[in-house]
Amino acid sequence: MDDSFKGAYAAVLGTLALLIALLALLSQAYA
Amino acid sequence: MSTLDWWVLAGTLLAIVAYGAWKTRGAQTAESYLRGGHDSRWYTIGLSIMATQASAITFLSMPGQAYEDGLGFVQFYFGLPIAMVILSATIVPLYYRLKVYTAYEYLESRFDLKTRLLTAFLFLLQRGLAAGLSIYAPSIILSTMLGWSLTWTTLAMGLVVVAYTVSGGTRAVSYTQTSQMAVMLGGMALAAAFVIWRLPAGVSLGEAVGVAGALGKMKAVDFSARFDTRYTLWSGLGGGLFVALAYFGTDQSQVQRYLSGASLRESRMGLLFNGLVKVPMQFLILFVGILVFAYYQFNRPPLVFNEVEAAHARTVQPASWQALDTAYEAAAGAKDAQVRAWLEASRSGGRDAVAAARGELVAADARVRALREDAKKLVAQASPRGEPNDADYIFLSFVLHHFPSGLVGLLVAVILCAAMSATASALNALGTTTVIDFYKRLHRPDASDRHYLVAAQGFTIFWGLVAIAFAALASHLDNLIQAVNVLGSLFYGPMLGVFLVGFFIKRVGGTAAFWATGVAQAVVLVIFAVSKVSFLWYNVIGCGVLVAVAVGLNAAIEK
Repeated sequence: MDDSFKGAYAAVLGTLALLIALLALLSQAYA
Repeated sequence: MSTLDWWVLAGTLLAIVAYGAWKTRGAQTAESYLRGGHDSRWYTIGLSIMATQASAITFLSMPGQAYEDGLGFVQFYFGLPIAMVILSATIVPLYYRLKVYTAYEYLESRFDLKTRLLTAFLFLLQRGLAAGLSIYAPSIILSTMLGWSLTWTTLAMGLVVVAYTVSGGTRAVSYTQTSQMAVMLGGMALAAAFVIWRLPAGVSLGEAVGVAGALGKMKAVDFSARFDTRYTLWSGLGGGLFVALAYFGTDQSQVQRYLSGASLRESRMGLLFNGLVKVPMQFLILFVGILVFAYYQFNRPPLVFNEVEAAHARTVQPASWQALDTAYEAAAGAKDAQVRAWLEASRSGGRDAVAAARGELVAADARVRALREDAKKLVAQASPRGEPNDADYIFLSFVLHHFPSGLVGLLVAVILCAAMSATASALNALGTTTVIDFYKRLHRPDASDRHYLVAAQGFTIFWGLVAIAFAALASHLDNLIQAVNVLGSLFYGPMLGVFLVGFFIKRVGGTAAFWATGVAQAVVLVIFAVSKVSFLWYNVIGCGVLVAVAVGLNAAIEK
């Protein structure tokens, strides 16, 4: 893997995890 | 539509096409026509990728889907960012190293000519049919609701797209797509703001969304591991990843977008940008549907949103419709009272009072929904060949009846921009694949640059005419929006499978890959013809069959 992009990949996957967590919280808040 | 709406609509569309034509003026070469001259920055690539995927159906159907079933569909996009990372790390550098024009060239360097040609042929078949549907689907909905002529809507949209795609090639597609994407995002953000503004005085946004939540519409993430629920976190991460890998990694209409990048770095950043903003964007579109739902908890919605079909059903069975209408008035009135009771309870009542009010509200809503289902059945009986999915009409009906003059024109422009951007990428890719993988490879390998440019333009016109002709014939297809989804799933499994084998299973050779592609495609088509397996599984089955057959056949050949 190209090292220079590892940070960018981590940022994309981290953002996805954060978004899923936020959407799960939203679901719970209005459940 | 008012005169102002027409000015906004025509002005927006003409400005976009004129901007695209101006940016790509001057002499073309085959290289710039097919690969965009290698000068696209990451934001152009990212927006172009997003505009290619966003079809008119995205904007017409998704708010309606959220209205009916809630936010759960957003989970389908959870696999996409992961796919962007995997593709950026694996196949994109490979495409750059091999300096390919099309994804299918890689298959010849890895396997052999026949595997390349078979996969390129499957792409042409799938994308050629889909291009027709991407023009036809919005045409039928817009012509029904606005009273436009279906033939003229299809022809006008198709010919404009053919004109700028043929004259400017890949660069014109990219430039128009960045402005189209801006119109789409701006239009939807304005739509969301406007629906919020139209909520009744005295009801806060939180309360309006709270009513939608009480009726189960706000469940965005479902952690349950159930196979009978279509959209869960797991089906989104797994199935969504599969579809995104196939679509962005092997479909030339997407591959061509990021191969126009100025460098490998720009292409990767464009894909990752798509991975970052896709989930929030789809959430916004679905949330507009939730807002429309919330609005209709305080204002009476029509029994059926496709008013043309509803009027037809009323004339065919007046007595049944009248009975249904009377029952609906009573049920909707009862539900209005329950919405107010729930609001009162949530403002001042205790936990038990809120729970009790919610139970009553859910029961009242179920009675209204049941009547709506009965009405849809009457509509389907009255016109058995009509477009049966009323959810596709919810958002457009809301826009036409509640949005102010000017904003209606902008929202229709959003829908047409989406249709045109998806179609332009498809025609561009169909023309390119025909020239590179068939014409140049088999017929004229050593012609001049000018010759290939003219050939590419000719094939793009050819595919444009095929798409328009198919759109004209599509009126004989039932339930065409379902057809759009099924069509993609029929071919992606084997296409992804052959790329995966090429990339990860080094010992499999060309002959095994070729026959495995044929077998896997046949299996998917047989399953489609004779079984009731959901189309969401076709990708997994096609890809799985291909990998298994390729490995098995290869072992047999090696012996």
